[in-house]
Amino acid sequence: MTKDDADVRQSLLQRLQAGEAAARDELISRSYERLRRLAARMLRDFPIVQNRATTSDVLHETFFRLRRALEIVPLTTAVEFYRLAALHMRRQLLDMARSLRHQPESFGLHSLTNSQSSSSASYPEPGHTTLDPAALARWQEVHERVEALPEEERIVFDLLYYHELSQAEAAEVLDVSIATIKRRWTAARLHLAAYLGDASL
Amino acid sequence: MNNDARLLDLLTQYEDAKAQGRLLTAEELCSDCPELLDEVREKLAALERMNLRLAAIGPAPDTPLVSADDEQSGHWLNVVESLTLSGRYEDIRFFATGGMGEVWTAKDVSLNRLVVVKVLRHEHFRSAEAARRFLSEAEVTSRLDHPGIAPVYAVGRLPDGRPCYVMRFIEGCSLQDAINRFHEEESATPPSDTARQAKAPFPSAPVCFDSLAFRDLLGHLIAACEIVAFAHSRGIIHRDIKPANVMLGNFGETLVIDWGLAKSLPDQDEAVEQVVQDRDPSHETTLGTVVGTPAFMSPEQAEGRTELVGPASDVYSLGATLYVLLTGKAPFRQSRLDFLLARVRRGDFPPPRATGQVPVPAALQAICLKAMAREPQRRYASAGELAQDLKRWLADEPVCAYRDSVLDRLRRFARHHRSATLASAAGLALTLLVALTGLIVVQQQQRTTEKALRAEVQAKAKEAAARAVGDHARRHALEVLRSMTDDLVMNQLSRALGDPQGNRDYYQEVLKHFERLAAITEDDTASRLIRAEGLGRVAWLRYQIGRMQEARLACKESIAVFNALLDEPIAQQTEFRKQLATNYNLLATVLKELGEPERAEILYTDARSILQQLKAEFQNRPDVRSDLAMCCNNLGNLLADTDRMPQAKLFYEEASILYKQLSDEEPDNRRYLQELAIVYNNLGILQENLSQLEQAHSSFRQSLAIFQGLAAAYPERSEYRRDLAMCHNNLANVLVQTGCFQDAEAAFSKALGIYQQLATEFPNRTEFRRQLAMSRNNLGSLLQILKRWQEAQFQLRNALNLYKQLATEFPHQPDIRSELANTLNNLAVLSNEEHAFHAAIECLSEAEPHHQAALNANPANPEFRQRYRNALWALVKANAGLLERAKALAAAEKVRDLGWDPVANAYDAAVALARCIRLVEKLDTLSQEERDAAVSWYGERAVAMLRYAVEKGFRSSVTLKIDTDFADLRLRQDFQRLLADLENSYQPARSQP
Repeated sequence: MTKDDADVRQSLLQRLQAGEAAARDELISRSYERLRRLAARMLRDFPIVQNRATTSDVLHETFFRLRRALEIVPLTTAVEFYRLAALHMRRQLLDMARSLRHQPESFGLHSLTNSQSSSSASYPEPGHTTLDPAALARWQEVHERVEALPEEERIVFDLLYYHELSQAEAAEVLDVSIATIKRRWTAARLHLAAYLGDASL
Repeated sequence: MNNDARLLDLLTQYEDAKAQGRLLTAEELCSDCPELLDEVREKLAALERMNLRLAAIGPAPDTPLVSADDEQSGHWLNVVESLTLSGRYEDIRFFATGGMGEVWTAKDVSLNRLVVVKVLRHEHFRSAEAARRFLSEAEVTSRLDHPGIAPVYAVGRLPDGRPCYVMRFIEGCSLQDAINRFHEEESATPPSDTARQAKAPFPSAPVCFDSLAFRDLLGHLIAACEIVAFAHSRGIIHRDIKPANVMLGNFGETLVIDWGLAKSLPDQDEAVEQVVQDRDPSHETTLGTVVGTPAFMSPEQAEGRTELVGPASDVYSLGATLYVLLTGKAPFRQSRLDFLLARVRRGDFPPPRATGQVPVPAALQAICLKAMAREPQRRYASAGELAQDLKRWLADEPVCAYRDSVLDRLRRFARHHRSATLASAAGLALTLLVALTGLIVVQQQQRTTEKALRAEVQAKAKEAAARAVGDHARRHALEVLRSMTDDLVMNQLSRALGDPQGNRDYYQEVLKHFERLAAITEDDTASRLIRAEGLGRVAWLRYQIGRMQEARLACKESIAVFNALLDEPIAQQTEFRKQLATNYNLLATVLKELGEPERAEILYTDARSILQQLKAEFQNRPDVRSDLAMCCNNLGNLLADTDRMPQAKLFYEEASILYKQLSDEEPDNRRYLQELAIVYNNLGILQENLSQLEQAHSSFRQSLAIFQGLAAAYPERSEYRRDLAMCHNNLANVLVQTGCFQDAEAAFSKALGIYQQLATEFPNRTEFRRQLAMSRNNLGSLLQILKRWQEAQFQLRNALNLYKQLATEFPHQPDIRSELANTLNNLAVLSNEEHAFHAAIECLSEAEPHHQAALNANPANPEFRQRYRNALWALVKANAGLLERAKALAAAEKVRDLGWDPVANAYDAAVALARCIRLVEKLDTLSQEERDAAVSWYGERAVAMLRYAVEKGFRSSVTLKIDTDFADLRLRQDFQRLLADLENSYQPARSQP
């Protein structure tokens, strides 16, 4: 994240706290951007989910969910916004992963596009990658486990991981010291490691 | 400071140092607190593992995660260090990362040979399952002692505990690389052979299948088949055979690698599947159970049916590998995995010869297609047999998979006996003559195939041209297509009535055009808009022909394209917003069909708010108001279906007001009128459900008046007549409920008349015959109420005949079976009324299998259940009429034991018994004494049954007091006692409303 980004976010947060709705929309679209990147990353790592319709779905729907949720819940603080947004991002990613694992079979006769005109056999096609369903399950697990973190750690995790705030920014949002952020961030990851380690044994 | 806090501080210190490029060891961190050393070491490892894992699922910049450099210096160093420390290996280099492990190369000093070291990746370290799977490759390969399978030299663990194993290093390249080179080089060679050039129907230079290079590659593939056959003989299937997993050594050796997905047969090693199955208990096909590489996996693998995956699956993948060798392309090329897997499941790939590039020898194509047969039993029985057939081809012998044409056989004969050819030429002439007819057939077949090929190529060229044309032409094409579908919108109903198949074909045709538009990939705004519109129309057409899942996909994609444009100025334009709303509306409708009412509701609401906004801005645009009205009507339907009648009513009313305005403004526009009538009809059904019979009556009348007008003005438009009949029928139902039997009879008769007409005009449309049957059944029931037995019987018999015909045509449609059974019920009831009890029982036993079939298909359907209960009621009565008390009681007990709802079932059983009292009272075959005895017997049984219902939880004494079916019981003492018991002893329970 650049310095400019941080400045923009700072002013957005101030505007949000001053009760300006437009600031909220802009913050949403920033979270949306992060979600898009996470989804894209997921699609790259799990070729089985490389389905354009689903990618756009996930983004489209989160956008709506988030908007809807934020319209209903009056926001007073930036923390609330971040918490809610992270919650929705996480749920959306999980839904996406789940829907992929349970996708109905009935895809019909017509494929929408096969616009690949290249005839070269070496073109990297998703169909050529070995599928490993267990990896997707492991990925899913992380996001599920975040939900179970202690409140303070989860908020820090949300801010740093889902919202890509810097530790200094997170400290400001939560009005605590950077050292506290660091401790909670470490504790959160240790908790996750413990959960996941246990879960897979 | 307690230990936990101290630990966190130490770890934070570690991360701070790392962020500044310094790696602290656990010892350094714990110099002041050696007692924490073990714990710090453990937590550090955990933290790094987590960092890796988080980095793997999405980078979080500005947070102290391990960078690539750190990895090199951090845990990667670990590998080098520990391997070096062992003293046995040197020159350790990182080679690649795979799904589970890292691959390193090293030199084994003691034996002076190159080895591969595979180490489980850090992030999988703590997963027992991952470790097990990782090591299973080593375990499997160690069980396979074959020169074509790289041997495992050693298995062990690194000092950090990660499992690793050492394998033979193979110098060479993969079959995939070799195939790529072969096809590139061959097609790059200019065609020197003029004869071949003249013969080849395609412009590009064909690959030569006689070349040494090809025969060499085929030899490697044969070797791979034999290696796989060997593994099968040891009970192991590979499950991930593909050209990339066949290695060609520099000295001609062939190896099959990557046994990480291998599975033992038949029952060991189920744990991997078990894990997946555990997470996904349903045995339906889900992507989660698909294991392997999609473009090469067998249909059974793509279906996730792990129980079917066996040696034949590897045979299939070897066939797919042969396909790549023959054509240079994978059999399935698709950028979308879901579609790709669907095609794999269907076995939907072009035969090698149809790829349009190379004239693949027919015998090789036949071998390839046999190996890739969709059904495992139709493939080669073993990988060895596949190898054999390929060898036969190499040796120029006839292959099993292919019956040579006469010409081929003659040619082979000529090649094998070249010196003899001239001498026996005379003899051959005779053979040729005999074979002539056969030859002609072969040539004709070939011509047909070529024609098909040409057509395909032409189509492809046309498509390419269509894509290449400029923006202007594209827009023009779009206009034409729009008009095609707009015409469809206006005519679709009548078309659908007249020629459903033709209509479907037409949709399919238009669909193809739009699919082309939807495939536009250019990124400028105009192209994206066209793409969005194309997708929207594709969705609509798919919806029209009932391909819901696909409609949903297209619609979602369309909306996604629109959404991506939301930030651009174009998004403010009316047409853009209107189209977005249309797509929301369509997607909602599709989702509703697919059983997702919640999401449908959200989308309808979104569509409605967009359209309301537009309506506010453009008061005069009828199209916006019409769209809004449609949306309201849809929303009303959805709410009514989900039992929110009051809200639904509001939306229907909003829709009716809008359509009313529109049809007043444009009285000539039939569509508005038709829509208005439909909304009135929907409103009527809703009011009927709310028991607002008078209002329902008036709504149906309004609807009826409009349809009558339309049907009279446009007699050629059959859909108006159909809607009119529906309306008559609905109105009649309300009239029956309000006791206006004469009007009801008239309305039913009118509906019947129209359906009769339609069924005659459109004999292929089963729904008309069904509606006619329904109409006759309804009228028959009404006539029965009116005690006009003979007329009732006439209608019911007619209905029965229609239903019987339909049931023979559609034996698996539960609705039809249940309706058939219901008509038989009605006939039985009628027979009971006429005291023709034997006839009633006959009808009922005829109905029984139909009831059962319907209930088997859908056990919870309330209508099916009610009809079956009615049948049992009629059976109780018929047996009572025949003085068969035991049988009557048995039938009543059958009602009691239906098991749907113990209380309601017992209550219904009591009703059936109580109703017998009235019947036996009227039986003039009995003496007065006998009659009294029967009345008393049924009364007793009915009360006993009621007591049973009370035991099961029935509590409402009020219901017992007012239910007319129990009128004959009220004077009985046992009934009074039951009532008293209910009111006294069950008092507390009555506090429940």
